[in-house]
Amino acid sequence: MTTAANTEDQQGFPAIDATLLRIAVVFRVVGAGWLILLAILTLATEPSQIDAGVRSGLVLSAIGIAVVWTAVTVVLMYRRPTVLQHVAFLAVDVALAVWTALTPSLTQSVSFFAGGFPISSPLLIATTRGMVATLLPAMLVAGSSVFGLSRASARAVEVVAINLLAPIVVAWGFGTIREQDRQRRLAEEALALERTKVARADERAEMAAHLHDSVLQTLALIQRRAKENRGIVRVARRQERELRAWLNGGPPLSATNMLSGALIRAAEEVEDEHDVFIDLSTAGDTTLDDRTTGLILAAREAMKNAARFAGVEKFYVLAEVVDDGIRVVVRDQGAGFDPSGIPEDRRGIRDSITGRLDRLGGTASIRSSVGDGTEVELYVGAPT
Amino acid sequence: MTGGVRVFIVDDHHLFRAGVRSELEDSVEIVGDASEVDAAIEMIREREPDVVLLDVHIPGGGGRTVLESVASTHPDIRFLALSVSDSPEDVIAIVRAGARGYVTKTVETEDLVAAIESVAGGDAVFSPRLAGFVLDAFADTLPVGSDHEFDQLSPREKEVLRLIALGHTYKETALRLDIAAKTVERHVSSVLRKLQLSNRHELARWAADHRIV
Repeated sequence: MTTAANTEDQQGFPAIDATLLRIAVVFRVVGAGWLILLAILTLATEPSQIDAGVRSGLVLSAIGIAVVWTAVTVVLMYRRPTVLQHVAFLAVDVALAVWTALTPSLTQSVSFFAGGFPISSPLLIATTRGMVATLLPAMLVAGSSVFGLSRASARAVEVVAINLLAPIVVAWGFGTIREQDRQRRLAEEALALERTKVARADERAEMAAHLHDSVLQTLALIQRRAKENRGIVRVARRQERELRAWLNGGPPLSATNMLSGALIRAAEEVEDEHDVFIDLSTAGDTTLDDRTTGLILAAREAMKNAARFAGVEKFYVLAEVVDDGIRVVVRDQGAGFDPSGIPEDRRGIRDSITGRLDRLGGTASIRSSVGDGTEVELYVGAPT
Repeated sequence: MTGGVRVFIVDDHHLFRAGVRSELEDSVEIVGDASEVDAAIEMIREREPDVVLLDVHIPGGGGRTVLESVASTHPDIRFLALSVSDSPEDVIAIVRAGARGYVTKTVETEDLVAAIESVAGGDAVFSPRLAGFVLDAFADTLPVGSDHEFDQLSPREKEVLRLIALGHTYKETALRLDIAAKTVERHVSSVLRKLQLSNRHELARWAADHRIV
């Protein structure tokens, strides 16, 4: 449970921040010890300039703050490190630091017994919140530390310099470390991602080779040996098609924004719907537009027609991009019919083909005779 | 059985080999089979079949290696490519390497026998699919002036390929174009030669464009 809680705490809290934070907290512990020693020494050796009771109270308040607040900081560092970056915590932190820095002046002591505790507050801010955020707290603590000292004293200059410069330098240094760490982690992540990608591609290639050598062969065999069982052949063919689509992976053979891809798609639909096999060839290719889409819809009608009325298991489609347009021929070797006496039920379908081509400004010609198959030739010219 | 065409099968898929063997046994003489490139080359050279049924995809270099090695010592042995792949690139590659034809593995037995006999007789065997691939491969029109005699199909050759792609037999094609069946065969052989000899840049690019499994 503890481990889980810790992991959760660490989420979004990079290891580098935890390390830097620890450095700041260790400095606070040292600073607090420093304050306690100096404060006890002051109480014991310096004669009181003000009421002795008041002085003891003020000095002890500084000691108390140093002990309790340092303990709080240490506990939070282990349990809830993010709290140490929170604005509310830091505001309280600065207020307490200012108070402890003021106590030597308030007690009119000669010794600056606040020691290293006050400066640990801007240093803590410098650790995680950067240079700009550090500036104001550093100024407050520096001001409080020199409060009551003679303005011209060399010591005042020294205290201000240390209290301002140290946090800013630390903020800059830690900022640099953190940025380098971030860059390094980004690079590592990119590398890991690349490795995963390469590994996946290898795996896929290996799998594809295996499937090709085994499964596709088996599917072909099933189609050869199960001719009498249409159901099995149909399942095997569909599996074969799906497997091929998967194996192709990358840029698909049947990109559906191209004439060839859209025709393959249409033929597959007719195959599935009517349980036939369409031997489709495309020569040349072109991108789809209204004209080619219309042509494909007409070709689909012609394929459906062949599938429904020819009474054959297999027929042929050839689509060709020629100099002056696109030609699609659908040919079956089935029942055929007498074009001069088209039955009523087939007229509608025929009209949907020829009508469509008329609207596209193309042509549709149908060749058929009873018992000798049907050939539908569709043509649209190039756009002018 | 005897006196028929002597056939050797190269295919790494055991079940498929066995299946084809049993289907063909009544019509042709099977003189052996192999599943690996090196074994295939050695056995074909030793047994000298009329026709080798060659799977395009076999481990250890593929069908093409078998074809090229055997052709270098036994130019009279003819190859009929057989593939499950339907990949234009592979099919065109093996035909360019010297196969006399190509059929898919789902071909009907009687069509396979007919194809073997045609190849044995020196003819080219274009399945509708191969005819489509070849039309596609030669589909781009070349810039004027760059035409080489092997780089372009004649209008008549295109006509023949169109009819074959639509499932017409050579005989039906001849009837339709009102020419002799022998003339159709001559056209197909000429297309095959062009395919093998053409260095046209587009053919290489076309194969690359169609790179599929």
